[in-house]
Amino acid sequence: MRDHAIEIRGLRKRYRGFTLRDVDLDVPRGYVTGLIGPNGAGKTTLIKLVMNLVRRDAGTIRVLGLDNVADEVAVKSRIGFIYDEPPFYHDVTLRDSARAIAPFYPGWSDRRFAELAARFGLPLGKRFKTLSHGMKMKFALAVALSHDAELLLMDEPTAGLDLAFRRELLHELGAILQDERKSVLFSTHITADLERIADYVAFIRDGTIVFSLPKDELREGWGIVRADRPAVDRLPAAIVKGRRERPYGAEALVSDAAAAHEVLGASAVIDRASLDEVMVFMARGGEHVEAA
Amino acid sequence: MWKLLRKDWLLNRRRLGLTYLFWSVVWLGLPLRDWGENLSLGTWSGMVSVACAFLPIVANGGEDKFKAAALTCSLPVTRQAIVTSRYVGGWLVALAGVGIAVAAMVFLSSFGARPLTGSWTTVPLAVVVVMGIVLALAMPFVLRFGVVGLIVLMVALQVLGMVALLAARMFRGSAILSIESAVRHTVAAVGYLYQTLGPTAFAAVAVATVLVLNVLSYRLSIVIYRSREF
Repeated sequence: MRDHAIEIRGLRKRYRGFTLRDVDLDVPRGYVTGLIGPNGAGKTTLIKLVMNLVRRDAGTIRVLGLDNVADEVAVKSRIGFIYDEPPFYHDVTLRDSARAIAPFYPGWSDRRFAELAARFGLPLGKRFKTLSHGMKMKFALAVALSHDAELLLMDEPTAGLDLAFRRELLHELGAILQDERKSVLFSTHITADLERIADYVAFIRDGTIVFSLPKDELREGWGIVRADRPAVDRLPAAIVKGRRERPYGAEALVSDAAAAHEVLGASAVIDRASLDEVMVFMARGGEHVEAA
Repeated sequence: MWKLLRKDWLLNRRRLGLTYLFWSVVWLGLPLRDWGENLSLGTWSGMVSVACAFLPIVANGGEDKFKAAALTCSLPVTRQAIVTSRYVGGWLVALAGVGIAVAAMVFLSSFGARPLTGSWTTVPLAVVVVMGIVLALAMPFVLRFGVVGLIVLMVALQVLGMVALLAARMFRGSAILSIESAVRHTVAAVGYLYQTLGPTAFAAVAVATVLVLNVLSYRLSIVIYRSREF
């Protein structure tokens, strides 16, 4: 049985106008799991539930084998958490912010923090408010990585960053993670980020986990079928995850490209599905999407 | 809890320092305004205790301003420990504020100024009681709605007070006047208690009341803060 950093069962959280319902999700230990979904799908709520920043209505969350509420202190001491907008005091220097946080974590290493600060080019004597958004995220990352966290939870860490900074941040993150085999749950709506560093992908839509798969399985097994409408109609419903009508025929997202090929043969063009395409097809519930 | 106090000190010390500096100027300047006249010690201690009760709330304003409560709650500490540190830190900050006010007065006295009239013996008790009551009432509200919420509440109470006064003038003899009467009766009852019990027993009852109020406030704050979502 695979070891899991996070095990979520039957998780439910109701807000006015939005419900996270019966979420089951496993985040494998030692891998990067990307949580993707459209804005408002429930990514941030799910991560906040894991951090016990919001209260669950039902279900269980086990983090590194412990209940995230009953063993809150032990769980949080092993987690590094990065917000999309890091909530550090704006008028305090980076050095003082780190000094304030350090004693809470038994595994905190000043040497490690200094190394990461140097690596990221962080000006420790400057106040947080003087940093660019990208540098703020790097500071948050340095803090999260300085206490030897076994699990990193990151909520949209690359949102609002320009392409160059996003790549740099992901490169740094990827390099560190490759060395240390930490577990990561990383929410984003930018699929290109997941293409770069994720090992697993979980898709959430309208408060429900639609699928959770190894990225390679998704990349190699899933496909986009382009054919005339009668041909697309012949595809087994079980493998069709989304479909859209086109002026020249139809396109379908299928979870088993080989099976689709067996059914349609040469009458269809079948390409690999990128995460971007998967997101576009599935974002609207797999229903027919307006022709482009 | 000490880690939380240390964190709050490191993150708020600049704001706290500026606040103390501001109050030092106020306490030094206030008697100077009445230089040569006599400022009542009761008035002075009342102002000091109310102002100092709000010092911890002002000092922790950064947590609201920078939405840093989410950061505090993501640290490996329980919500109860966070609330405990707020109460302990709050009392420390408030008492330090009283210390500054007293130091300002001693400083002025050393220059021959005698701006206060009255007995010093009741001042510590009055300060602790007033500060304790304000802290106990304000803290659960601040932990739930933040400093901005408290300001809104205070403005709302001011408006309500003005409306009540206006109504009392317009509808003499109505139920609104009974509020004023209730306040007068409470003050009279406290006076009667003081006369009956004597200074020592009265002080013990007053301190015990503040203690009970703060324990109840603390318990309520824990329930409130545990249910808060970030």
